[in-house]
Amino acid sequence: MSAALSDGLSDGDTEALIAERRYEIISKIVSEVVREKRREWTKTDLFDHVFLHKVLGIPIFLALLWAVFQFTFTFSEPFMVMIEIFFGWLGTVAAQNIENEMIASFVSDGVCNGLGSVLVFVPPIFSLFFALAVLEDSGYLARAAFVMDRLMYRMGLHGRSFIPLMCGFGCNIPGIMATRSIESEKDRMITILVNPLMSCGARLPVYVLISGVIFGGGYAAGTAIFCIYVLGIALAVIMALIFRRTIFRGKPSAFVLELPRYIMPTVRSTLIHTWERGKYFLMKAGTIIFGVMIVVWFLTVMPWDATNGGEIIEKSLIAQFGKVIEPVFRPFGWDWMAAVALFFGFLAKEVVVGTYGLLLGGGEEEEAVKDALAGVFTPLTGFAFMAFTLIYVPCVAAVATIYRETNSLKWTIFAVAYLVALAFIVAAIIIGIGHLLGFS
Amino acid sequence: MLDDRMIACVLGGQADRGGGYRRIKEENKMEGFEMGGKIYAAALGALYAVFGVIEVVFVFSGTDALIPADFFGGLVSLVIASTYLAGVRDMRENDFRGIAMLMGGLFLSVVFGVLYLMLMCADFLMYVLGESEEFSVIASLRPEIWLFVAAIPLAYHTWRMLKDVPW
Repeated sequence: MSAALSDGLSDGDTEALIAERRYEIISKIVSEVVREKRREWTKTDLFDHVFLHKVLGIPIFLALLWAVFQFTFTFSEPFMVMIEIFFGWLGTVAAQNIENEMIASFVSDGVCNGLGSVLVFVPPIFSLFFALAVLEDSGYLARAAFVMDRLMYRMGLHGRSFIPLMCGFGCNIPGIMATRSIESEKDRMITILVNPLMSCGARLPVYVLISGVIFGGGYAAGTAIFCIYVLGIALAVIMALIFRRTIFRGKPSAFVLELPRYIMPTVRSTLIHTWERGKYFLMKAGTIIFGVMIVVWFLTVMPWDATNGGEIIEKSLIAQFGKVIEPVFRPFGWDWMAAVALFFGFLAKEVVVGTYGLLLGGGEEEEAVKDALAGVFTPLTGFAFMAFTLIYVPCVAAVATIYRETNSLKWTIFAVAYLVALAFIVAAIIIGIGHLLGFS
Repeated sequence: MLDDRMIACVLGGQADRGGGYRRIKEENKMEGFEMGGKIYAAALGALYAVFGVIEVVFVFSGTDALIPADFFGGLVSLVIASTYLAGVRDMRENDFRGIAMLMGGLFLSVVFGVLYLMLMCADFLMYVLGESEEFSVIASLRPEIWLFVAAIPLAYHTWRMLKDVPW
């Protein structure tokens, strides 16, 4: 190793050199002691010929990734509706059968809405984890990391960074935790820092709501959401390159990977893996979101007499608080409600939609919220709001995970600070370019 | 140096080689995949390509009749078509790697056929729940579902041919 280093090789080159020599020696020994009757292929070899193909490998991977997202979001949609209907019914029953108005409002709007806004995301989250568990257990995910390595390397990231980043599309928490598989500390730190830019499932309801309002749903709204996802990926690439050339100088380390044999995933192991990942979301994020929704409800209805039980929102505590922080967001054309939604969204991104629901008096009823929001956002300010929601810090649970994984308060604060700064910069650029193009 | 920075060591299946694989040989020659099978695979590939192009074109033309206007769905169909057609190209020269490509194409046909069937069920559930105004089985049956059904005989034939090949 010292000879290699003295020749001016980087750490990554040295590792590759060591690995190369190791496999040369293995090949030499094997050729001397093992006599093969005939070189024959297994099914694993056959599938690898396709999945690791130099031309078709990446398109096939992207196709399977698209299938995962379709399964996650489209297949789980009716189950989300069922949960919405159930909690809507529960809230109505509670409101009708409780005489005390304040307790009825607490149970109906606070508890049922709060619990409903958490559990409504269980189907997509569990669907995503189920699909990822199938890919992982079958042995394909290791191949995906392999075919993506070349691309990741150009981005200044390690091949193993790919899986944590992909997990980030479901939830940033397991994505950040998955960086444990990256041996190089620099590669791992970069992956942790850019992981929050992968748009997690919790942000999707915000995009769906806002794009539905400003673009009227359909293809235009879908394209806007797709643009936000692409924006997140583009920013992750840019930030990874910046970090690689400034704070974490050097090349990504060599990618040595042993590909497991393909196996048919068993239902039991897949369900266990799904539950192991899903319960974390359910227990941690669930408790936080539920608690926040109760707090938001309280601030929305208090003082009880002045707000007439939450009817006159402008006189509530939350309105007073929102107007204090509104000036920060006013340059982007966002009102105090947006400021409050973003503030509480720091605790959990789903809360942005839930907060709008409570503020606009529609509970979680999407149509009522959409109608009210139509007068709040223009296409430009709405798109900037979506971009800000994507970037401006992950939820508090993800921040706690960053702290736990980096074991450093300094890097945790840095992650939050750079994301907030980036969110303001990107939102300002969007608004600025929009104004130059003549949008209001 | 290694090919770029990657070193892949395929484990598993290496130690237990020695069984008689009837069809697949090291010299890249296979003992004949019937002409009918090759034509069938070529037809599947061509149909995937045609439907993929139509789905993409429909997005830009604003058309949406029987074949959906689906940009990404169309691209996926083109990927499946490429896999089939690459397999047919190799199989024409009796190269066993053609069977590998064919397996890949069949695998993708099954994955997306099942996926679209599940999405059709989800659409039906949305209709039952009152979230969508209408549901038509005919309109929901995407070409990829028909092609998945059409691929089943070829998948069965390939599976039988490779059943002695270990994992």
